Amino acid sequence: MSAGKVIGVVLLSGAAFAGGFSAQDLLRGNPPSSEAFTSLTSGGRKSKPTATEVFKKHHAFILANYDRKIEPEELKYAGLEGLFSSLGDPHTTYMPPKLAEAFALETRGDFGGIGARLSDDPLGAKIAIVFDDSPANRAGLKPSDTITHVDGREVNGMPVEDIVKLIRGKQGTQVQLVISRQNEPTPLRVRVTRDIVVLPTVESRMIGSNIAVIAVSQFSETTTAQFARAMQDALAENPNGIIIDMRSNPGGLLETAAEMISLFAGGKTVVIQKGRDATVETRSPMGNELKINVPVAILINEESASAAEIFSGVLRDYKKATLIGDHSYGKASVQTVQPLSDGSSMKITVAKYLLPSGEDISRRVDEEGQYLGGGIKPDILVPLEITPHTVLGEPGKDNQLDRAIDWVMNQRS
Amino acid sequence: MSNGGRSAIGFLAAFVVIGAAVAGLAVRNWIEVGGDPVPVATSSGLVASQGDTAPSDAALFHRLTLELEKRYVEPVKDKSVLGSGAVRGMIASLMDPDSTYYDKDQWAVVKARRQGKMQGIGADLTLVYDKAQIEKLQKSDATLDQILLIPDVYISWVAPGSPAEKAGLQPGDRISNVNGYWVMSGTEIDALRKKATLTGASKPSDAEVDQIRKRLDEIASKNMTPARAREKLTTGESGTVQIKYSRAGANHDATLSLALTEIKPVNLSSEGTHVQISEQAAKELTADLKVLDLRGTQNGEAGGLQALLQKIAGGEIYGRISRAAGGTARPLQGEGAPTPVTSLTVLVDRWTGSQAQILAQTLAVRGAKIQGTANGDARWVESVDLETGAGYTLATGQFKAEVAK
Repeated sequence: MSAGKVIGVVLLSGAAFAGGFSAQDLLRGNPPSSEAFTSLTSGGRKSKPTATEVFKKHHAFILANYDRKIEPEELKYAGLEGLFSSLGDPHTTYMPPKLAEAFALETRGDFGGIGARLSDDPLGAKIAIVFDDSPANRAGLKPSDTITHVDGREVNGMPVEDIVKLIRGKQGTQVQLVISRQNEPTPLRVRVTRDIVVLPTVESRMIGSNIAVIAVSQFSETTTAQFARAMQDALAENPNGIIIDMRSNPGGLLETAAEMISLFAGGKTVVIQKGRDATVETRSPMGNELKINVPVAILINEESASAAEIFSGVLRDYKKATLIGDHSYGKASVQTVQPLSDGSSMKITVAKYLLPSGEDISRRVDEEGQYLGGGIKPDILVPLEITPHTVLGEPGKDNQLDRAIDWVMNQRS
Repeated sequence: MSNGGRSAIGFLAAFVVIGAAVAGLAVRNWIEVGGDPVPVATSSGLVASQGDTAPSDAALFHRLTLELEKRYVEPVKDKSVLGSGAVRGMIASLMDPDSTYYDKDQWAVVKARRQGKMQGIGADLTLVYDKAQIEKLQKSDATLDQILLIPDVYISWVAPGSPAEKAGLQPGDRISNVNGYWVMSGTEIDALRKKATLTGASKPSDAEVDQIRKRLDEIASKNMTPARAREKLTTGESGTVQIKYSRAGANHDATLSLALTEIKPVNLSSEGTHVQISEQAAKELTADLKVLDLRGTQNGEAGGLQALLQKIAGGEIYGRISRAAGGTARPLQGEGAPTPVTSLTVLVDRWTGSQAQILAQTLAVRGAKIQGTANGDARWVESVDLETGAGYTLATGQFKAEVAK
């Protein structure tokens, strides 16, 4: 059998081929040897194999020879995930149907939650915010409470996203939580009935010294209207200043960021997107500018990414706000998200963007993936002090917020 | 490529539209800028084909490669990474410590090592996994603890004349830091969080919890993966590396040079004869061997293991490989006359690799004396070269030694 003919057999029936080849070896009493396999595939080839050929061949080989049983489809999805991540871009990914579905589930209307924002904690998940009129509020949960068990299961060490998944569930069902609360010697057992929770993306309040604090958690469809209202309400109080908290805001819609910027500066360049074939300039819409004659500070940290960085950087460039906190993440790229007919979904980076000043804020990492540079540098650098009493958003317990308050008051004097 | 015009997501589009409407979101084509991806309906003609019949695996793969190459922000210069990447994804999905993908550079290091040419500090490093967690991972057990999945990095063998030997490193030393980067360790993080969550009388003070938080923060801000740490210590023939390691509960610092250390297929020492699993070693070993030292013996080429086994067993069946996936166990045998081994002593330890354990098992059933305890994992592991220069190891079954009655 010539090498060419055998390769033809490989392409047609990978699994059978691998088994057949092994049988030949076994007749001689030897296990299939890798040298024989690779010599077969490298002999007689004139050109380099395509990615698809490599995938096909090894998919078949692994399926036929691996110790444990694997589902061919699972292996195929793993190959596709590997294909996308081979570009070394963490934002270019493939999600197999199960993962894509679990993800879509979170944007559907019928999941229920408890109405609290959680943050990482060595003991499990710390409650950072309890939403008004939420199941968590009704059950007596408070900020700083730490969830250590969910339905009897210990959650310390789990990433907070996974703990959130355990807590979410069908509306009307119950979840049993064990809470560790400061000054309580024994853990508290709390049963919470899940309800539909529409995540507000803008939360605002006035704090002592007559300063408005507006926290924006992401840039979704409804954020523009909520933010505009919050800004108008804040200005109506005749405040000493406004602090916009963009910390840990992972981004969202560019369009929303542009609309929010237009409240400060209309008709101006927001970003310059450089794709493969085209360069596109995005501008803020006209006619929305508010009359703002109080100092504005924006809080950022390393988890402020993308649209949050654009919003902050652009307002800084147009001298509309002062940035306080830690450098931001450095996500200067744009992706498209496309669902596929089999239920999977893919995300591909299609453009990079620059700020109006021409600054490229792309994150740079060393060979271990650790931060080297990039992101937006704050005007006033204030790393967060992590203490057992730290509560983000609470004056006196949040040194970054406190610094912003000091800055505002200094502007007034 | 795809049909022009109408986006053809078919069923999924309708599903997402309904779901999205219920959620109160308008449906339109989003250019997503950061944050978590949200699958949405698209209005322009995009990827999905009409008809919704599942395409063949390779056709789907091919179509997506074209999409990537066409749309990615930069042209894909080296297309061979795409195929290697796919294989890497498939091997990673096996979640099997005995099946590992190596990129081109690392595969070259692995192969050179098998030829007796050791780069780096001249020591073998083993990643030790929590077996119970690996099992949970493979069974999709929901009680899986992700932290405990992170392996620890240990020195498993030190080559004679190597920088590691000169620095006094020993098998069993755990590497905790390389060049200022903390090596992630499941056991260390687990110990820290356990300490933080003690209740009752042992409950830590606020100051102690703060200390633990700071330590976790320190690890989080400058770390490297266990695999990367191993890479760093076994690659390169010049320069130096700084490490922190722990031995019997005490921490130590060391600066070592990176060099090329050569080891022969068969090495005599005062304690016995050490071998590199290879066809050359099979040729050089003689029947008058008294003590075979398999402590810390790493895997080599499966062909080398075969040669050693055939030298021992001759034409007899010496064992069988069975796949957990099922099927009949495959008998293995060679040819020629067997070698008597009843006066042979074999030394093993917890660092004896799976191929060396297969060797030890085969010798044991044929009357050799075994001293020491290995970790009992006699898996048959093959190596596969990729056309791109990368490669992978693949566990193809469990070995059981046999001897003719």
